[in-house]
Amino acid sequence: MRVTQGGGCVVFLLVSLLGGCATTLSTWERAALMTRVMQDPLQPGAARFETHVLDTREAMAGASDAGGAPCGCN
Amino acid sequence: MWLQLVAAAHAQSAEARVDTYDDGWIHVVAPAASVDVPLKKWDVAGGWDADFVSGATPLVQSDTTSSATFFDEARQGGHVAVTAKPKDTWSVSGTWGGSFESDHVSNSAGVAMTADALGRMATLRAGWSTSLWQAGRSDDPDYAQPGADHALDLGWTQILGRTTTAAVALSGIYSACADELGCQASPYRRVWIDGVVLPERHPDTRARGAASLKVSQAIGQASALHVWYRAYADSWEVTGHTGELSFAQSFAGDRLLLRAGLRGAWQSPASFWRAAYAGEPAFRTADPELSGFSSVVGTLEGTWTLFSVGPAEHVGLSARVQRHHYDYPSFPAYDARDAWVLGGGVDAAF
Repeated sequence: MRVTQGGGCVVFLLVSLLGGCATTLSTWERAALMTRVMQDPLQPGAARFETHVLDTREAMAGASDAGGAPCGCN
Repeated sequence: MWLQLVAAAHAQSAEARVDTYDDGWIHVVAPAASVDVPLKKWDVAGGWDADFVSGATPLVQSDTTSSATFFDEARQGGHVAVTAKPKDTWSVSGTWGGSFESDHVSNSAGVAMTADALGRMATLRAGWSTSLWQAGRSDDPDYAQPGADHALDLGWTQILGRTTTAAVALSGIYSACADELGCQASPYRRVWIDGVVLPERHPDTRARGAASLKVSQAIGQASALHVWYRAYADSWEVTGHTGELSFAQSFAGDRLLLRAGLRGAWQSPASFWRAAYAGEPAFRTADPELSGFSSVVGTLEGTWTLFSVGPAEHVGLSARVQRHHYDYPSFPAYDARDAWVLGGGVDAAF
């Protein structure tokens, strides 16, 4: 079943800019999104140490992760 | 099928690893261990990490003279996250993190809510955390400088198609600090003004804001490209831009994954930062973090899934090599710093 979600895309500016007002995807249509190469960071433990290093080298911080998964499965 | 995919992404897992940092001045060895135990409607994750730091750091003075102080110190930390998932489409989590060393202690707690929306085409996240910390001096047990950081994080991850996702993150951080030194000031650093050595003095409060955009593009089933950009600004008039491009490739049905990344950052100096101070400035700093700088970080890393053993569905190895380069065009003590960050570990899924 495909359901247009145009209203939500209006809110999401980026989606509008990229013309990404997409229909929903079935589970089997998300295979490429679920691959391990789409998971970033590849090594969460190493990424934690990298953040620790960068926190001691840069004054900039925040907005490093939107917290969502590419599968749409919170 | 949906449940199988979700279950595959949430298997019980454990990891132990060691990372190191070496820039010629500072040497860090950082062991860490973590576990993630998903239950039917709950997920419990936690970990321990430590830093064993040794070496020398320049004692920077604003008349461009510098000398070195030598030290050894250890820090230990822990983190726990408990996530409840009452419904299939949303979850709520609580987190705690602590960091403990002889002259600095911090505890942070946070809550976050994550929800799927638009027919699982989007994931929204909102989180709040507060960190309470106290800085001391290793040579003065009575010295204590408390402070607090409050952070609000918002995130929107959107599936744009069968192979593309985009994510926007916004964050705001407000810090309130003791009025002796101010936020982010070190009780060890000194500033040289007209022949007098004084401790750092930063503003007592700081408001920081950042916004980022990330686009991930799958290329077939075995490759992906990730592009990330962040804009940053704060009430100390520090502005910055950070970008990262990375490419991941899997081989042998995901048994071997390789990733290469390149990160670049540029940051302006704080409004009160000076290469050399004179008179009676309201604020003064010798922190290279608050000078203008640019940096480049290159990363090569890989994970290798080996075999199943005992109760483990698989055991894997991981390795990572990073090269950090920082340019400080107006910092008096040094104009560049280079570092190697190496790490590796073993992980298992059950």
